[in-house]
Amino acid sequence: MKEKKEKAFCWKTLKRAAGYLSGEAHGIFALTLVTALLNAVYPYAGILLSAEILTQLSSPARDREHILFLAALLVVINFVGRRLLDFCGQFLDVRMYTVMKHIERDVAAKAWRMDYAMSADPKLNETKQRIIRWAYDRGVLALVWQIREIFQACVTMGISVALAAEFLGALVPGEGRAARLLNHPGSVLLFLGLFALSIAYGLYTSARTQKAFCEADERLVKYSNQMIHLTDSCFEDYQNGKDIRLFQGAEMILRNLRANKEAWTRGSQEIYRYNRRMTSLSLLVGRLFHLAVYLFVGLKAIYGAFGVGSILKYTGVVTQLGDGITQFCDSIREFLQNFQYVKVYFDYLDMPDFTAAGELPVTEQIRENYEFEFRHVSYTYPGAASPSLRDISCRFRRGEKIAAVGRNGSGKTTFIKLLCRLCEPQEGEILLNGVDIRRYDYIQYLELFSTVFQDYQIFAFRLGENVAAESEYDRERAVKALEDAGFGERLAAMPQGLDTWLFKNFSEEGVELSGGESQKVAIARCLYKDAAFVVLDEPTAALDPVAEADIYQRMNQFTLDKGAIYISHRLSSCHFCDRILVFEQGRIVEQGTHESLIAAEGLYRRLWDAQAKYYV
Amino acid sequence: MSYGENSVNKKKSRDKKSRDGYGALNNLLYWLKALYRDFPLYVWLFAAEAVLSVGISLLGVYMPSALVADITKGRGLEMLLWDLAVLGGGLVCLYLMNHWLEKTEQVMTVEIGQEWGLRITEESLRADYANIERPDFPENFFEMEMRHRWNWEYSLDFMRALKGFATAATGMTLYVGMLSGVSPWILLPVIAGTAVSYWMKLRCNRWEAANRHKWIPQDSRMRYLAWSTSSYEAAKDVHLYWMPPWLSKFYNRELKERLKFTVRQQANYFLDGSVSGCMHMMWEGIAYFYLVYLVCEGRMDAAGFVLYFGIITGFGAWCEAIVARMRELHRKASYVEEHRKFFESLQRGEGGRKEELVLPEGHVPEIRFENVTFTYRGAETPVLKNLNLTIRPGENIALVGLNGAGKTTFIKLLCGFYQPTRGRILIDGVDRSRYSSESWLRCFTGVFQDAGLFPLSIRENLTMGGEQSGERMEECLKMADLEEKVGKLPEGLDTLFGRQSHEGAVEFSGGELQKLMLARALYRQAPILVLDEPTAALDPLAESRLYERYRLLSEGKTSLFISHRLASTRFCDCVLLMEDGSVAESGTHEELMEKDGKYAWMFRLQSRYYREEEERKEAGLA
Repeated sequence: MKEKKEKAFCWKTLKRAAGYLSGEAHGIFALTLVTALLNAVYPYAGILLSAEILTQLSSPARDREHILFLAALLVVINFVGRRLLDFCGQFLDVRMYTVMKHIERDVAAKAWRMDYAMSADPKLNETKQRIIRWAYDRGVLALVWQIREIFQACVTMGISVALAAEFLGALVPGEGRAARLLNHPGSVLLFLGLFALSIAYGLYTSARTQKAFCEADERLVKYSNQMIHLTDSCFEDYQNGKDIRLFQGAEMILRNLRANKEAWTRGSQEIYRYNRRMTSLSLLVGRLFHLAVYLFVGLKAIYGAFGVGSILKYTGVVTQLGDGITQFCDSIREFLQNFQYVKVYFDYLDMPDFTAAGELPVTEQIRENYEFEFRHVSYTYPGAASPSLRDISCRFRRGEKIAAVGRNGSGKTTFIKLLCRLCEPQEGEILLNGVDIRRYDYIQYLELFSTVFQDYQIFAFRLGENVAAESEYDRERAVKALEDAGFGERLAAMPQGLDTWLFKNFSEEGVELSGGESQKVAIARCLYKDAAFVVLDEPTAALDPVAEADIYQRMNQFTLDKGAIYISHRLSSCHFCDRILVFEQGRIVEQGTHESLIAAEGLYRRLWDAQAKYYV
Repeated sequence: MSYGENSVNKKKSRDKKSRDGYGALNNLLYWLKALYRDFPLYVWLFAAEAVLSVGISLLGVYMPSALVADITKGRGLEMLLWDLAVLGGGLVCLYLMNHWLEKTEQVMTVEIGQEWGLRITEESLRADYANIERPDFPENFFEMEMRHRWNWEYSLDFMRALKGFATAATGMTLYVGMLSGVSPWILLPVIAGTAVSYWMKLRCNRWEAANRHKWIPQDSRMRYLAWSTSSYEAAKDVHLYWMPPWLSKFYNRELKERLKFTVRQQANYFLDGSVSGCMHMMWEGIAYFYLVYLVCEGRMDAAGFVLYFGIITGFGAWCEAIVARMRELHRKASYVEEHRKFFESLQRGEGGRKEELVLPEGHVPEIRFENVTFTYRGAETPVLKNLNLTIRPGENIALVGLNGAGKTTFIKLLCGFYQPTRGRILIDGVDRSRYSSESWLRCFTGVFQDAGLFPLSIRENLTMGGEQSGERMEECLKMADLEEKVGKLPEGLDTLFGRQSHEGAVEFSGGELQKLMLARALYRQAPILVLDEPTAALDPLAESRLYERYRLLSEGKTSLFISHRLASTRFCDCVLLMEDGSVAESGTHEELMEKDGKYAWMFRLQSRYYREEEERKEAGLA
């Protein structure tokens, strides 16, 4: 823990965080300091003025006008001070809210642009969630209130020390035993010693319990995670309820949940009990010291060191000083610890963008006339035991339609991921018109492709926005794309047409799509983009035979003068293709036209026969 | 933060409260009783804490005044020590007890929150499927679960609000009683001031209630943009359609709109604070003037001043506390309302009086649909219309049809997830509604379209908590073509499943998932097998292998095979073609081909290229 802390804090990070924050919200630090100052000074107005009022009241020669003036002053200062504080505080809150939202956006924006292979890491998702969950409590934004607290504590301590010195310096007049005792430096030292002890003990317990909570969290997180994941898997998609009921799995799930719940509860209760013991003790010490303050102040007052009004003043001041010191130490500790979270955030932001590499433009000429070439390409997924693609070499160009077929897990999808620069080959290279694709500008390169992936995503936006992947788009073209994708009839039945919300996330009138329908929307998106090269990975798995035949017909039209790659387990779709690549265990084992491959009597022939025998 | 995500969630759910509620008081009592029934000690702890809080506040007011009196009246050292020991010592004790109670409540809350979280989960798992099959169910469920399990809204927060209210009410009454010697009218400005600031708060609330529906969608859109579009699953499409600039723009637009409300809301709070502050200033000023006047007139001493000023400000604090707690209790009451509504929505329709359907070992029932019509809740047109059909024991049926023809709905009706809107379903001639749906569901096994697998071990996913037989498990894995994959896993059947949840868990491809689901379906022994698109992700060889084994898999069972791949009809006894919610054609593949209707057309459409090839081959041979 300690090591982590020391490593985490560094001036560079602090400087960067400060720069980040003031970049996101101008003047946020000035606002913070003003708020802190007001916060620190404000209570003293009450303490000092009410003490003065009481002193005046208890003195025999009191001046009513003066007392009333003091009371009015106190009341007005209370009001104005509060208003100022609220104003600054609320203003600061709005600024912090804005920054929090910006952080949320930036976390997402990073994920949108991130190297695709990296985003597959399940830990990344956790990091994202943690950064968002921290919100105000930890991370870069927490620095704002931490700095506020530290500054506030400093001001409080400064004022209190001055007043406390006055209190300790106030001597009891006379030469009596009591006066000698109270005026003796030893009693001041004793007082200060007790003061230091009570604060030290408070800090010690809070550090101990905090550490214990952290450790318990680490110990118990596996139980709570299992509960969360299992519950999510049961309810995130209510469809899973069918399987639970069919297989009567409720008992098993509940058993698992209950076991984890017991473990988590037991561990948590243990730590809360520990916390109860520790904080009770520190409360006792703090309260006893408080009594000692009253005693000391009372004694000095009885023997005439100061007036009765000062009792309230000095007890208040000592409390403030104690609070100030505690707050200072606590917030310094939090401030230092927080740097590991700040670092997590910046490390996340510093992850490489895929887009950063490559500057060559993809010109109009390339779009008009292109040729891709795979040269001895191999690819292994991070953490996988064996490569998904081994030594792939092939070429294809505009006007050619390629089919990729093969068994489950033979590397077809990986092949297109590499082509679309979602992953980078570990060995070999992929060339576009003789130049390594990595050297092209990423965004321009992606503009070459219209894709429908196997696990396409349709978002809970408006229908038209989904098709165009933009909010401002060509409506006619979008309608045309939807009609060409076979969605026309459904579109006509939607009262709000392209502006219909998909799914019910944001609108009660949102439309739920069936598997077949959302596949058609994905196809429409592909058509709308109308790029030079089309990639279709199982685009019709959820469609009925009629819709499937229809889509293939239209796709054939659509790709007439383009290049295309089809992946499908329904081999009849290969019929349209000029060339077929047959994948097996990451290699291309055969390639050629349908006729030649049938004649070759290899794997393709086996696949074909396996399917064809049911249709003839 | 009043406008943080959490409070927005709360507000959102408050919106859902329907008009025909139980009433706030009823809800509060209901929940208090519910808590007391299971955890009486918990409730008593808060009762004790309320008493202590009042005591602390009383002593807190008396102590400074007593000290001032000791000193101003020159009572001497002994008296001071005595007062400090009694009052101060008492205060320390009270503080300590109070703290201890608070922490004990926390310890118990952990248990209570978890317990209720589990109860909600259990109720939802056992509820009728039709009751949870709503697009908004997951959101509702997770919100309830979050509030119970992690946010402690129904335990700690609820009891704290109640306790706070009780404390404030008691404290207020006591303080009025302590004002002896001073005119009680002095409290009037305090009450008036509180009333005005209460009214201001109501104004704020009204504005929020009227405008909340405008910013809640903005919040959820921002959340959606930040989460759902930035997931790994979405990354491919986000990249290939290069959406980042658009999504950023989208987010910024939403945030800009949202901030307008935030600022307006803050302005409201500020106004509220200013008016309340004015009121506070007014009564505080009056109190000072009055008490100073009394002292100057000699009708009160300094100690009295300290005491009564303490009482008046204390009274003001109680007033504010009552207002605040009342608002809180209102919110809690609406939470309880939602909780009750949630449980009611899960209530099972049939009750426990239904008969258990017990089939003799090895018996396969006959199922008959008689004029079955089914309309979804809230829909106008029925999905199934006057469906009549008989499924004979042991029959292998292929169910085909276009997207949206009603196949999936038919399956759900068959399994008993839905009840027919009109008509009956007969089991061996007996109306199914006589039997409990659970016992009927026990007759089924199968694969549904969406992968319902759980982040547990592969073994648990296979057996789903049923009996374990290693031999059968292996057999089923073999039949599903998965034994090789599982055999390669370092921990075999005990490997954890679900990579998102467990580090080092295995990832299954789409095809393998489908095979695993098939293995699970086979492992369970039941007379009726339902397979809904079990081959969509399988390659031709795996698909063909499943077909070849199909007779074996479905031996001694009634089976239903739904697929867009019409090859599946070839090994079934009977093909049912559904169209617009009814059976358009039925018969064997050959019969239907001969009939030359819609089925034949569809089959030819799909088999065209296979046949062409075959013809070419034959021509080549000839």
